Amino acid sequence: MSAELKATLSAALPGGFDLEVSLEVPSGITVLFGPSGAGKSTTLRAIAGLERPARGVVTMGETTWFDGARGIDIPVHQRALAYVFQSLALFPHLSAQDNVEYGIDRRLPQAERRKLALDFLTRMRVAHVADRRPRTLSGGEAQRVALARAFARGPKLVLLDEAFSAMDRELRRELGEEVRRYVDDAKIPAIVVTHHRMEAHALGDRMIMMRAGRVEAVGAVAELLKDGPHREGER
Amino acid sequence: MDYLPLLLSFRIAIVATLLAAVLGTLLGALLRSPRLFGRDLLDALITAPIVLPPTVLGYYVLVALGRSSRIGQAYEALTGSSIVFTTTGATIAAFIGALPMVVKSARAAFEGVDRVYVEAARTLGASPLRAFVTVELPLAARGIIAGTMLGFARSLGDFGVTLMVAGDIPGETQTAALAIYDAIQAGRERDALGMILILSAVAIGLLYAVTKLTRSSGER
Repeated sequence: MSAELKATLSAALPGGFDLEVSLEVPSGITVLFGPSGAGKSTTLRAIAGLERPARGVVTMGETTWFDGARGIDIPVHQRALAYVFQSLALFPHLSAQDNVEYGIDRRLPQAERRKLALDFLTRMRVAHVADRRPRTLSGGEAQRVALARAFARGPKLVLLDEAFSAMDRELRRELGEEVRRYVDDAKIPAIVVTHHRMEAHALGDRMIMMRAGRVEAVGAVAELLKDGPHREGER
Repeated sequence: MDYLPLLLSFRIAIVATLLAAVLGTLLGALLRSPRLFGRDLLDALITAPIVLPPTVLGYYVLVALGRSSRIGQAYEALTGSSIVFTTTGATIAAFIGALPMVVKSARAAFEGVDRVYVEAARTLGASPLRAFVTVELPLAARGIIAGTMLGFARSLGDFGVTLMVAGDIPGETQTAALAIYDAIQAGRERDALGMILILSAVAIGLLYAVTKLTRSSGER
């Protein structure tokens, strides 16, 4: 059964204005698009629990993750989500396989966790780097390990913060397909933050456009990007 | 050459450094947090032994742990022995010298760990404690080890506080630094020379290792 993410958030942004957004994110990929400083990353971080909004409510399906008025604030490690950072944040002291294993439910026996980690590396076509440390990986390999780590966790929500921005078009397309395949199979929502039009086109079905801390438009990616209102968001 | 003071110095320094490594790492992690109330004051208090005269430090320890202090009396009631003028007192003196070295290095090492790794661990289901133990600590390990080595070197050579707190009792509190002083005062320089060379070699060796360790940490 698929679940929807709902978030209503208020927070102060570094740019001197406030974030005031209300989002409904169904299963599938939703692109959170807008120029730098629009509040996209703050929105994502608040949904994940990495930042505490001043006010608001975040629910994932039937579960309330945050409700400022009712004093509910589920800690980030108890929110069943996966977050792929722009820098990927692969642990430099662990092998690729140990990185993937890190997020797998620790109640499973270790042998099972190791097998599951290797399965996800295989699925992402990077099983050959299982024993290598992140600093020895190519950009594409590191991206695939980061996705394997995110998916192996069995999340109910996937958040990608500018994770594909530094990649060339072909790699972005390939990895976008991996994300789409996983999200469609698992029937879960994914939010991809980007200020890059090509990335938005390659990844998303649905788009939420943000500007100056507000949601400006919601609709199909192709429709919203047709007139290019966010040209300053391009690289 | 009488090796007893040297062996005692190493024994005291090892125990003092192990204690300083554990407490110093925890304090370094605590001081890293920008939200800690009174952080700068706590940092100054922990760092003070580096700059305070040993006599002043020794006086504070005597007041806090001496036979007429509450802690000193409680310890004596429990163990039948006092803290001051015993090997325990000498170990505390060595610990006070080592602690700021570990704390300073550990704090810098923790501050050098990119917060994104901790955030990544949390999003992967790690509690704050698990993220600390499995991510922050290993990533800060080189800096902590370097600080611990400096702390060991510092505690091995302590003189002033040890003399104030533990006295100069052969076989019990007479460490190498004190024995060297006694030997030179008595004109027995030949007795002191072996200990001088060994302490110098250990100190220079440790400083060399610390430099290598911190440099390779920067290259990681």
